[in-house]
Amino acid sequence: MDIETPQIISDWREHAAEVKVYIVGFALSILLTLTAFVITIAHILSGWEIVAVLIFLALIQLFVQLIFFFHIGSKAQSKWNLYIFLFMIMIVSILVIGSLWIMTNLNSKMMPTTKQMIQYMNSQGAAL
Amino acid sequence: MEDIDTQIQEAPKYDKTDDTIVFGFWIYLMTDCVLFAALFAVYAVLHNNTFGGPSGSQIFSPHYVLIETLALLSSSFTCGIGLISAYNMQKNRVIGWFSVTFLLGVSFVIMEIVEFAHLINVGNSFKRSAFLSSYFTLVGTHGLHVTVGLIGMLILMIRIYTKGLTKSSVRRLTLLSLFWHFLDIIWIFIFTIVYMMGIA
Repeated sequence: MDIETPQIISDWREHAAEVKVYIVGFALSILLTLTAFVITIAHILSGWEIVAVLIFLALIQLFVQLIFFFHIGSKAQSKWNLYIFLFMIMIVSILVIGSLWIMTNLNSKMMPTTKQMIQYMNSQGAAL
Repeated sequence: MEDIDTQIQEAPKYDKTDDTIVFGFWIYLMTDCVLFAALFAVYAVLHNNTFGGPSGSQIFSPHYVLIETLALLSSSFTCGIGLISAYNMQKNRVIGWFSVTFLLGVSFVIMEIVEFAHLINVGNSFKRSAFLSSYFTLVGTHGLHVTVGLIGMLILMIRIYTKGLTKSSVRRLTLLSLFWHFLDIIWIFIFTIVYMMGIA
C-alpha cells in the first residue's frame, strides 16, 4: 500500500452501515423539515404554540444531524469534541437568552409612547 | 504544512479520532456558532421593528424557501456519502458525489441571490428597516459561508482529480464535510426562526 494513501475501510459491512446511518439521518431531516413547513402554511396553530412547536422540531433536527451526520458522542469522535460542543452551547445560551431578556425589558420599560410618558409625568406631578 | 503532512504520513494509518487538525477545525466551527448566535440574537430583537415597511409574512415565499432548504439538506447528504467513498479510496465516486454536492450548493446560492435581488428591486433592501437589516445580515452571512465552502470544494476536487486521494486530501475532505454539515444545521435554524416563524 502506498504510504500516502489513508487506511482503507476494509470491511464492506462497515461501509454499508455508514451509508445507512446517513440515509436514516437524511430521511428524518426531510420528514422534520416537511412537518415544520406543513404546520406553518396550514395555519393550524397560532401565537406561542406555533413558535414552541417549530423550535421543538428544529431542536430534534439539530440532534438528528449531530448524531447521524456529525457522529457526536460515538466512538469515532473524541470526547473533547463533545466537551467543546457543550461549552459552545453554554456560551450561545447566555448570549441569546441574555440578549433577548435584556432587550425585551428595555423595550417594555424604557420605550414608552408619548401618551404614556405624559400620563406618567402627570401621575408624578399629582403625587408631589 | 509540509511538516504536518510528513508527520501524518509516518503514522501507520489515518486515524480520525487522533487528528488534532480535525479537532482544531471543530473548535473553529464552534466559535463560528457563536458568531451566528449573535446574529440570531440581533434578528430576534429587531424582527418586529419594521419601521412601516413589510414584515416577514409579506415578503417571504414559503415554497421557494422549502426548495432552498431541500437543496441544502440533500447537498449535506451527498457530501456525507462522498466522504465515505473517500475513506474507501473510490476516487471517481468522491468526485461524482461532491459534484452533486457542488451543484446543489450552487443552486442554493443562486436561489438566495435571486431572492435578495428581488427584495432590493421592490424597495425592500437592508436600508428599509431594522428588521430587513438584520435579515440580510443573518441570511447573507450564511450565504457567504456557503460560497466560501463551494470555492473550497472546487479547489479540492481539482486537487483530487490531478493528484488522487492523498492523505492530506482526505483530511481536507473531512474538514470540508464538517463545515458543510455545520452550515446545514445553521440553515435549519434560519429556516425555522426567520422563515417559518416569519410566515406563521
